[in-house]
Amino acid sequence: MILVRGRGRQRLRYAVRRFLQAIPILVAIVTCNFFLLHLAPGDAASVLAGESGSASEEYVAQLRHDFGLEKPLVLQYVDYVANVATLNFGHSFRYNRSNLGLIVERLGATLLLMVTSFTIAISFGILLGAWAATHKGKALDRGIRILAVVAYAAPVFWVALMLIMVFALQLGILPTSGMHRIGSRSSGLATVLDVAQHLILPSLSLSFFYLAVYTRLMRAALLDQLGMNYTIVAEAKGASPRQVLWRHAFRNAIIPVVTLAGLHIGSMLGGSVIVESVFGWPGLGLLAYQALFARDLNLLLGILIFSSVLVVAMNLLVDVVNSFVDPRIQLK
Amino acid sequence: MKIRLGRVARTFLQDRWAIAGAILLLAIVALAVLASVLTGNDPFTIVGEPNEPPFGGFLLGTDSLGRSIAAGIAHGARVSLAIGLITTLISTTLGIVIGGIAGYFGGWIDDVLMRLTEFFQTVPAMLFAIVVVAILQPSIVTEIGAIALVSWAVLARLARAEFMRLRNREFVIACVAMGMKSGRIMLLQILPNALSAIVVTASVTVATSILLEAGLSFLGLGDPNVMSWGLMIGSGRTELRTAWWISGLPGLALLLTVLAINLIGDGLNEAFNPRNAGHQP
Repeated sequence: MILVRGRGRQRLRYAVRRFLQAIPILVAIVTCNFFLLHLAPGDAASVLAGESGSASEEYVAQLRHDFGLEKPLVLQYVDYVANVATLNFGHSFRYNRSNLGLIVERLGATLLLMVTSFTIAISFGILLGAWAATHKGKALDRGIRILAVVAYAAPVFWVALMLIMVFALQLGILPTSGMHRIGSRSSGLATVLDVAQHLILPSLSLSFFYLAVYTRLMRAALLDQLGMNYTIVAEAKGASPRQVLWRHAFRNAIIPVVTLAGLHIGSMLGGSVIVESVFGWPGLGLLAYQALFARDLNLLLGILIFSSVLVVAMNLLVDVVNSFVDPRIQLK
Repeated sequence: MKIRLGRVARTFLQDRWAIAGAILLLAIVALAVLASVLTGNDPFTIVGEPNEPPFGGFLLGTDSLGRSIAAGIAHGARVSLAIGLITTLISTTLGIVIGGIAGYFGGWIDDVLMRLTEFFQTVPAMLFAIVVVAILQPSIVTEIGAIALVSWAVLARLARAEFMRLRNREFVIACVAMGMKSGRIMLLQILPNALSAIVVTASVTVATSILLEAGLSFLGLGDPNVMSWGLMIGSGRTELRTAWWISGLPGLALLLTVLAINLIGDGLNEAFNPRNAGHQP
């Protein structure tokens, strides 16, 4: 009992320490943004507004004031950090709204897309990897491996376009873009089905690459586990091959897959910019794409900071959850 | 611990997939080198009617402005391969310097450099590259800079691990005892021994850099005056229904290039690090 309670306190300390470790990264992200703005030709206000063309004189003056460009660089930096720390990401001239409001509004769609893609990639990756490993050297194994190698090399935007071409344009069974049918006034189950239909192609495109990664990793990990002493012992003690596979080796083999998936959160968020822009999926990625086209750099920087914070938070969450799930993780 | 190049080459040459990848990559390199000879100097020249299908008047058809797809693919190969190689050279050098110093000296230097590396691993790479290119204006140079900036962290981590592993080996300690300068030890003693692991990862970095470049060009962040695969795929988006080949064929070229490099990378991995390859108990 004492041991258990001791571990609980350790775990809390571990969570707090991981949280504190995240702070320098957050500061670095904000600092980096600040310097990016100052690296650009011209002052920050002209970079943010000048290229936009549509920005008014007042907006530029407002920006100069917001960034305190008349102050020394150090004070500008302090102001910038203070702004971000209080979740003030500035104002978008294109939408004439606060950047944070825009970002939060689009967050849900991106999270839905990412969670769906991760679910597809992890579950099918584990399934295909295990299938290949249990048929090592046979035609099935070779087929799955070739598929994984090709999917691993396929550029996400090309996969997205080809899926649109086949399933939306040629076969006409799935919608090409958006999240809802245009003019749809449905509610309840009909809306869910509508969104789900629109979600299929974007999430398949986004998950394709990761599916390949997890398939390859799962195959290797399961083969590793099946060659280890404990599985041999289990077999020697009379466990059936099926039991050894599913009850012993399988459980240990999925750990590296899930750990790697945790590290892929940021990369998938980057991929969602491309996928969302192709499918017009109204999430953060599409917002970034639109901000890019409108030369709304202030909004673009806001999205970058927000996404980075999101990645830090999710990594933290994955680590802490992992420390609960896997007792072998050192909490020192 | 010296790398036996003979054994490495033999293992590599026995790997059918790696050989296939090498032949494929050679073909693409040949296409890039001979682009002007095969398809003329300027892939932006209008050569015929718009949206001509492949195997008609033109080998791979034309795009919506009547430019030859074959010429675009051949000239695009130059851009993709060149950017892939240059960015990998930059990010690998950066990764070795930062990771090497962190791993060799340890202590607070390691702490600071690793926080920096962690930062670059946390920020979503694609998004970061987009922002950098957008702020500094799209051009080949900013594209290369942005891609190198988001790719070096993985290599730094790897270099650090290798340098740390080798730091306390007898031959390094002997050099320290003889009074050899840190820089010389790192460059002449440790680096050659760490290189096999780094080469494998760097080979894969070429592929990811090519994909990143294509992604940036696809989003309209490439150099508009340079024909690249990403640009072609992006320009064909609106013609998908009537002319799939405008996006489809450059994408296929991109896939084959990345596939070839990955196959070579896998082959190098098995050749250099045989204990990771199989599952011998």
